[in-house]
Amino acid sequence: MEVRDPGLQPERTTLAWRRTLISLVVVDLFIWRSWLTSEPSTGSLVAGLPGLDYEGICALMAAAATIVLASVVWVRSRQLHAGNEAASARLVLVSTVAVVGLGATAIAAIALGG
Amino acid sequence: MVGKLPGTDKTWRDILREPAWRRTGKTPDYRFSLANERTFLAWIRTSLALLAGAVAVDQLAPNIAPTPVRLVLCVLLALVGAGLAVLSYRRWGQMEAAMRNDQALPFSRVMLFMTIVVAVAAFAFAVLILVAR
Repeated sequence: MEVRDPGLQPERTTLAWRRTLISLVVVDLFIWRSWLTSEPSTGSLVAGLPGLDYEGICALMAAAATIVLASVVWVRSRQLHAGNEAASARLVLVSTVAVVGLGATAIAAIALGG
Repeated sequence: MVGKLPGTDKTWRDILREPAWRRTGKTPDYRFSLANERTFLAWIRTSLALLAGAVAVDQLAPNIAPTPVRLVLCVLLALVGAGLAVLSYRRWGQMEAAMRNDQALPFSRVMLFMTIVVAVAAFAFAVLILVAR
């Protein structure tokens, strides 16, 4: 058992990751809202899924970004619970890609809403 | 066999492996590594706040400006947000590379740039709110 870190560095880092996930959910809520308040489309892009218009695809993209970041936060929290090793570049890169993807989705949602 | 990326000698496996700078110098003290990680996350949250602001203005204030103006402003804000996410990854890498090689932390104009972006956006929306009523 290691000596307890007096600065609580792993705990602070875990909390920072969780805060980031909460911030991402705020963006999600607005994107999901734009789907729910948009005019329901009559045609369907995918056969058999009548509600899935372009706004619906944006909502799904936002959900996908959330799942990706939530997985990263889960993995990183477990690592930080076990020790205080640095994050792998892969985890940091994957979370960056999730946020950039959400940015593209947000732009699409704005453009569709106009 | 893994396919090569167009235009480079790198394969997809090279991209997923730890980058080369991670094998240089000496591993920094974990407190500095974790502080760098939290700084990255703080920038990511700033980026998410810009995205949330862009989508929120577009949806909750449809009468703030004529539709084309509102669209351009919100898309610009979201673009800055997405770009800032990329910058925060780059910065995280540069900071750790500097720590590994005992160099001064690199100076960056990201802070000045973000100050200007937020100030200009706040001013623009203040004017629009005044004009809209």
